[in-house]
Amino acid sequence: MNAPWLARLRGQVSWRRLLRVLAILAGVYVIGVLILRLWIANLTGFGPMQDHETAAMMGINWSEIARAQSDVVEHFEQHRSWPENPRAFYRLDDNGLLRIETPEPFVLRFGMSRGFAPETGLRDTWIRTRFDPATGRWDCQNDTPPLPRAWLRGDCLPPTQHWSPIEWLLFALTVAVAALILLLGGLALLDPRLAGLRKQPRRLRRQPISELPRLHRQLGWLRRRQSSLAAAEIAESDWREALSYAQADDDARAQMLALRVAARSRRSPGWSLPGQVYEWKLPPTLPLALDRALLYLPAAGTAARDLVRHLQSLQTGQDVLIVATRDAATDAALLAYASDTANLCVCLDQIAQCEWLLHPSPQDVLVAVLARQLRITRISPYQTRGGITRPAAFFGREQLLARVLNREPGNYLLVGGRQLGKTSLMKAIERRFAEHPRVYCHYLSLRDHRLGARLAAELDQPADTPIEALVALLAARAGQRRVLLLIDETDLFLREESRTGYAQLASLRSLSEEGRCHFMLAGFWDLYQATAIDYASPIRNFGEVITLGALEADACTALATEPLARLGIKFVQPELVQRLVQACGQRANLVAILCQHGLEQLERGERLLTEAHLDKAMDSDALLDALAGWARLSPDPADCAIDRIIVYRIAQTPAAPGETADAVQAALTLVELMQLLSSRQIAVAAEAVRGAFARLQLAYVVQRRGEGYAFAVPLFAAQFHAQEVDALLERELAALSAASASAQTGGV
Amino acid sequence: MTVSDFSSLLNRHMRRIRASAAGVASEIGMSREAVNNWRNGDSMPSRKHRDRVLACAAYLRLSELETNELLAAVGFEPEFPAEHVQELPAASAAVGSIMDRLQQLRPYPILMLLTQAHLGQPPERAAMLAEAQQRYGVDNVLHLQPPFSLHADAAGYFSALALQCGFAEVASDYAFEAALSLRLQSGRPLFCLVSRFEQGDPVLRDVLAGILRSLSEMHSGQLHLLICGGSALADLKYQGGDLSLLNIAASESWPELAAADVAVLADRLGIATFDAARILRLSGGHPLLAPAALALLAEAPARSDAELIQALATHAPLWQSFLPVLSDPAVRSAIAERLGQDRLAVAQPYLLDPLLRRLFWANLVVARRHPDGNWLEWRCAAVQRAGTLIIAELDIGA
Repeated sequence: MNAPWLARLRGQVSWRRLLRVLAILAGVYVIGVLILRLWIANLTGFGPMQDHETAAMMGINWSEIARAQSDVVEHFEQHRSWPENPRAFYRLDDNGLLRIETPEPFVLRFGMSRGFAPETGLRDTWIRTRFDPATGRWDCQNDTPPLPRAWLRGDCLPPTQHWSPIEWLLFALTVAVAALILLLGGLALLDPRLAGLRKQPRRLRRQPISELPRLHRQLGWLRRRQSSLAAAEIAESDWREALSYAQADDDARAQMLALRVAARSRRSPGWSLPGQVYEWKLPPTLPLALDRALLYLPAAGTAARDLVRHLQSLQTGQDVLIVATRDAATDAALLAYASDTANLCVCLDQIAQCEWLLHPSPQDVLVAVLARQLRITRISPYQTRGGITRPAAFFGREQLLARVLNREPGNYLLVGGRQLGKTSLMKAIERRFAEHPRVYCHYLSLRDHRLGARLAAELDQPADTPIEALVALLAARAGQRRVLLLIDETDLFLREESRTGYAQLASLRSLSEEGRCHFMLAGFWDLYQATAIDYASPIRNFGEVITLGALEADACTALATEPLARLGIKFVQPELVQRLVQACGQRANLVAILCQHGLEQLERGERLLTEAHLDKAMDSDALLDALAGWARLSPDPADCAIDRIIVYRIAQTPAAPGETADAVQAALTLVELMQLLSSRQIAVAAEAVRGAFARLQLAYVVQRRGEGYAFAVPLFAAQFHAQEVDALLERELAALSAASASAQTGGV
Repeated sequence: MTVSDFSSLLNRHMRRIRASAAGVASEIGMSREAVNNWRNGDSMPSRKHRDRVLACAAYLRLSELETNELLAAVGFEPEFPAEHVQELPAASAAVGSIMDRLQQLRPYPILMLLTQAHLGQPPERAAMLAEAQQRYGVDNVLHLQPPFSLHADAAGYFSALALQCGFAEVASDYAFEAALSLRLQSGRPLFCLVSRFEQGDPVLRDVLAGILRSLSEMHSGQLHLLICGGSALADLKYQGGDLSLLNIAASESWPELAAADVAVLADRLGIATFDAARILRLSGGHPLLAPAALALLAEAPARSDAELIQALATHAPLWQSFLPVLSDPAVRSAIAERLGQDRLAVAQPYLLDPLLRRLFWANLVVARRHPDGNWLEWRCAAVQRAGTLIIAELDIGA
C-alpha cells in the first residue's frame, strides 16, 4: 500500500498526533455517554433495566398505582371521606402483582406481590403515597421494606437525587473546569521545567531543542509564552526558527546554525561518517583563533556507541569537528568523548543547540562550547605574533585611527619598532575603509626592495609595469573613490632607494601631488632615517609622520581582560592586571604573550589566573623569545655595537633592593655613555651615540627618563644575568676599542 | 672504505648535477688540483678536511644518507643520525606536539624548529612528513630544500624549488610565488617543511623568505610553515633583523633523549640489558654519546663510571665538535676557565654570549631546568673531560 495519498498523509500526520486525537475522542465519548445516560435516566425516571419481564411487570404496577390513586381521589370527592378499605374504590386485577392498603387518611400504601422473582429484590417491598387535598397532588416515597432504587419512579426518589439535566451539565462543566485548573496549576507548579522557568526565565534558552514544541504549547496554555520570551530576552523570530529546527532537514539545520554565528556553510562530501558533514568558514569577528570548522549532523538512528567509534577513527586534519546531536540519547556518550581535550571534537548537545538558536549573542555560545571542550591554546583569542587580523583582537590606537580615518586621504609615514603594531594598525585602517563610499584602501606588504614588481604581482601585471600604470589600474578598480595604498615593510625598499637616488619614491610623490593616489608607508630604521636624518630624501615632508610607541594603558587592560572574560576566565585580583601592563611597558604583544602563557598554565576547569601564573609567564621562554632580537636594529654592524653597549650598560644598573625582575632600572645619560667610551679610548662620534639612543627609543627598547634613558619595558632587564652582562659589556667595549684603535692606526 | 670508494662516489655525485672540479673547488675553498686528485683517486681528504667534505656534500645537494656515505668513505663519522626504521618514542610525541603548536600559531602558523648538532634538520624527517600527510592530506604537504650553492642564479634556485613542489616552468621568484599562491587557493591548508633554510645563497634565501612571508599574509592561516635549522637559522632570526618571516615565527626546540628513547636505541644495537638512567647521566642525552655509552657498557658491563667517562671523552665525534671551537687560543683559555663550572649561564632562547652560543649549537652544552630557572650546563662529564684533553693536546702542540 503505497498510494500517493497515503504517503502524503504519512507526511502530514504523525502517529503520536493521531493517537492523541483518538484518545481525546474516546474520552469525550465515554464522558458523554455517562452524562447522557444519567440524563435519560432522570428524564424517564427509570434506572437501568434488569430484565424485560420484570420491567413489564413493574410497568403494569405503576399503571395500577396511577389508576388506584385516581380512583381513590374520585371516591373522596364523592363521599368526602377517605375509605378504610381499598376495595371501596378499587378492584384489583387478577394478576395479583400489587397489594394496596389505606393505613391512614390520605395515604395509600402499595406492595409488590410475591409474583416478582426473588432475585429482582421487588418481592414484598412497599412504597407509600400521600394525597394533598389542598393541591390535589400525590407525594411518593419508599416504604419498608423499600423498593430497590433502580426500580423507583423519578417522583418517588429522595428529593436530593432529583437533579435536572441542566444541573447535571453544570456539574459536569464545573468538574471539567476544576480539573483543568488543577491540571494547569499542577503543571505550572509541579512541572520542574516550568517551575524553573518562573524562577529563572533565561533557562528557557537552555532546554533540549526537541522539547521546545512541548514547551511552546505549555506556555501557550498558561498564557505565559510572550512574557517568558521577553523575560528570557528571546526574539519571537528566533523562537519560531528554533521551533522549526527540530523538523528541518540536515541542510536547513546546518544553515540555521551557521547563520546564527555568521559562518558560511557548504556541504563537504566524501566523509565516511553516517550523516552529513558541512564545512564552515567562520567570521573574522569571532574572538577566537578559529577561521574554519566542520559541522557534523549524524544520521537519525545512529547509536551513540557507533558514533563515537566513527569519530575515534576519523581524521579531520587540523579542523575542529562540531557534532550536533540528533537526540538526547546520544548526548551523554558524545559529550564524554568530546570532553577529552586531546581530540578536536566538540559536542553540540540538545541543550547547546537550543541555546545556540535562542541566545541573543550566539557567538558567545560558540565560544563557551569550544572553550569547554577544546584545549584553550587551540582557540586562544590572543594573537602573539604578526599583524592582528581579527577585529576582536585589536585594542586601542583610537586616536591614531581617527587621525587617518576622519580626514581626507593624505600621505602618512608610520614609524616604529618591530612587533609594536604597525601592521596591525594598517590592517585596522584597511578594515575600517572596507566598503567605504569615498576611499579605496589597499594593503601591500613588500617582501624586498621591489615595490613596482610587488604591486604588479598583486595586480596580475607583468613585473616591469611602470608604477604609474599600476596606480592607474588601482584607480580604475576604485571607481570614483580615492586610492589609499598602505605599503608595509618599506625598509629594504627605502634602503635601495637611498642607494639609487630615490627614483621610485619621486614617482610616489608625484602621484600623490596629482591626487591620483595617497600612501601610507610603514617601516623602522630606514624609514626613520629617510624622514629625520637624510636631508636629500624626497620623503621629507612627503606626509605626516606617525611614530608608534606604547599602547594606551586602558587598551592594554582591555587586552588583558576582555578576551579572557569571553572564555569565562579572569585574574584573581585586578592589581595583577596593572602589574602585568606595567611590567610589559604597555607593549601589546608582550601583554598578549603573558596572557597566552597564563591560559596555557590553567588546569581543566580552572578559571582564575593567579600571581603564580603571572610570575611563571614572566619567566617563560615565550616572553624571553619576544624580548630577544634587539641586537641588530641597524644594517650597520658598528651601529649595532653601540646599541649593545647602551643596552648592557643600562642592564648593569642594579635594581633597588627588594625590587623584582620587572622593576624599573635607573637611567643612563648620553654624557655617561660618552665618558665610558672615552675611558676606553673608543672614538665614536656623538651623533652616532645620539643615533643609537634614537634607534633604541624607536624600537621601544629604551625610553626617556629624566635626563637619561632606561628600559622601556621593565621585563627587558630579566634577560640579563648580573655576571653575564658585565662580561658581555666588556667584550663589546674591547671589540670596539680594538676597532677604534685599528681605524686610528689606519688613518695615520 | 677505500680511495676508490670515495672517488667513485664523488664522481657519481658530481656527474649527477654536472658540477665541475673548478666549481666544487671554489665552493669548498680547495684548489682545483686537489679536487681532481680526489676524483682520480690519487689522494683522499686529510683528517682536518672533514668540513670541506661536508661543504662538498652540501654543494652537490646530497641527502643526509648520501652525505653520511661520503663522509664514511673518507673514514669520518657520519654528520647525520642514521635513518631510523623505528622512531624514538620522544620523537613521536615531539612530532605531534610540533604539529599542534603550528595550529596554535594561526593566523601565522610559522614555526622554526631549531636543533643542535647531530640531531638532523629536521630530526625524524620521515616521521614528520608522515604525520603532516596524515593531518593535512598527502597532496597538501611540501618539502622545500633550498639549493646549497652559494653561487646559484635566481632562475636555477627557484626552478629547483618549483621541482620540489611539482610546479612546471618556473623561471623566476615571481613565477614561483604565483605558482605557490595558486596552490594555496584550493582552500585547504598547505603544510610546507623547509629544511636547511639557512644554507645556500643569502640573497636568494632572503627572497624565498619574503615570498613565504608574503604568501602567509595573503593566504592568512593557510600556509603552515615549519622551518628547520640550527645555529645559522637562529642567527638569522635574532640577529638578521630584516627577515620579517622569521620575526613573526615562533621557535621550538627538539626534546632531549628520555629513558624510552634509550630503550629503543639499545634495541637497535641489539643490547638487551642496560641501565637507561645511567646511560642518560653518562652521555648527558647527547645523540651520539648515548649509543656509544650503550655499546661500551655492552662490551664491558663492569666498567666504572670513571672508565666510561674517559672512554666517551675520546669519542671521535665529540672531538670533531670540540676541536674547531678550541682552535683559537683566546677561546681555549676562556673555555678552560669554565670547564670546571657546573652552571655556565642563564639559558635563554638566544644566547647573547657568542662563545656559549657556539658551544650550544655544537651540542656540547645544554639548557636544563632547575627550581631557580633554566641554566646552561655542560652536557656531561665526558664533554668536560674531552675539553680538558683537547686543550692539553693543543697547548702541547702550540
